[in-house]
Amino acid sequence: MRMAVFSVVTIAILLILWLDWPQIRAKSKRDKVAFITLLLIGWLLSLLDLPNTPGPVLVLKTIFKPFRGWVE
Amino acid sequence: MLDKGKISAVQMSLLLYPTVLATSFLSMPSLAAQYAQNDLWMTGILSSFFGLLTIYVATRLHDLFPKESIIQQSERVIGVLPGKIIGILFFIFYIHVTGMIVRMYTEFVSGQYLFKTPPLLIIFIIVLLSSIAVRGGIETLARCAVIFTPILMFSLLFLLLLFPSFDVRNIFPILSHGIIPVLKASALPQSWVSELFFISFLLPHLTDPKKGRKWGFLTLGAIVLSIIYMNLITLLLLGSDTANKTYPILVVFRYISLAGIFENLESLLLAMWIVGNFIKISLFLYVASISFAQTLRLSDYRPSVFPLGILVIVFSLWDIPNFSKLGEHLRYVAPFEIPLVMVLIPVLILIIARLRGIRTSKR
Repeated sequence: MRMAVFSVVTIAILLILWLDWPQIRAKSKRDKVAFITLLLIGWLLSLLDLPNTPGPVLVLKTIFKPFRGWVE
Repeated sequence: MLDKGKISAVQMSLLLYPTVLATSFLSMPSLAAQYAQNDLWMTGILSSFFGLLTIYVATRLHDLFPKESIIQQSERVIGVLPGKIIGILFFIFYIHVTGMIVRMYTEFVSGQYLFKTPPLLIIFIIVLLSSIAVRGGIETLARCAVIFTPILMFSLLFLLLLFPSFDVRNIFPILSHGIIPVLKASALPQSWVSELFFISFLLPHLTDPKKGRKWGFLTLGAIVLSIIYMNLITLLLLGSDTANKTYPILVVFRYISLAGIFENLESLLLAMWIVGNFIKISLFLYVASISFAQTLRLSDYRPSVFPLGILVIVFSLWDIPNFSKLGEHLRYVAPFEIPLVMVLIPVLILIIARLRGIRTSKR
């Protein structure tokens, strides 16, 4: 699972760069930075063993713990 | 405006209907029945409250700041920096919820139909398809909705073929456990209905913005009627067994057998599920990319759609090892998370706008 996610995401990112970069190059610096940052975040996260890494679900569970009793 | 596309109020309505119902309708009756037992059909009526509120707030904000979405409105009302923080919050929330929807979609397709296909492939294909649609702009999405939403709505009528098997006694006794279990059961539909707040991102594209509120409320009416209809049919057919099923609507569709012709209709359900979720995921991804581009004031939203698609894939896997963890999140966290972002924050922004004395601007 882990290697599959990483390899597929890497291929997808390379494809996106290959196809979209010619259009991005003409745009402002802000657009370029936003584009590259998004791809970089996606790529770095795909390095993790995602299903077993604590993340947003745990954060939200902790935040909304006080309300849990209302629906239990 | 980032996307120059124009849609009609009816198209907006057809986009919003699957956005609320596409993922939720499958498991809705059993989640409601676990709290409300045989009063589950009432949850639809009670859940309309947040829908009314969120449509009213979104259209009021659009009256104050025409042609703007909630991201730009919040920057105007509470200042640039707090507005940006809210924009980033909205953006992360939308990407996370999109990931959750993709995961729910995949769990059903791989768990009930495509047993041998790797779930990752199902995730990638739907996200790729939605990203391509989103890059086409709001008009492309609206035209997809015009074709697909009627398929979703009319397929639900096939449930009426079960008419001979209905047992009306399953409804009684009404409210034997009081109103509290029904209120608890409507917490989840409540949160789905508050997704109608997406009207805020669609109103700027309407050819006739005055009709926005009317069609918003009509959509809400259609959604509430559909919720009551599906809950009632499941209850009439399955009775007290409803609560034990993971996907009661799937069970109900499998039960259809008429004259040796209408059989194995669960394949129709899969078709409904795919077209409905395609619209839903596309609209969520569209809203996420628009809020990303508006928060960072980018010149175009299209280049960020595919990178956001990758983030959606990441969020659909992150911290969800199995289906039960997803179910726990949907049951105990989503009923508070979604209304917080979709109802509470917009209500606060509207109240602040009122207190600051912002009147309808004529621009």
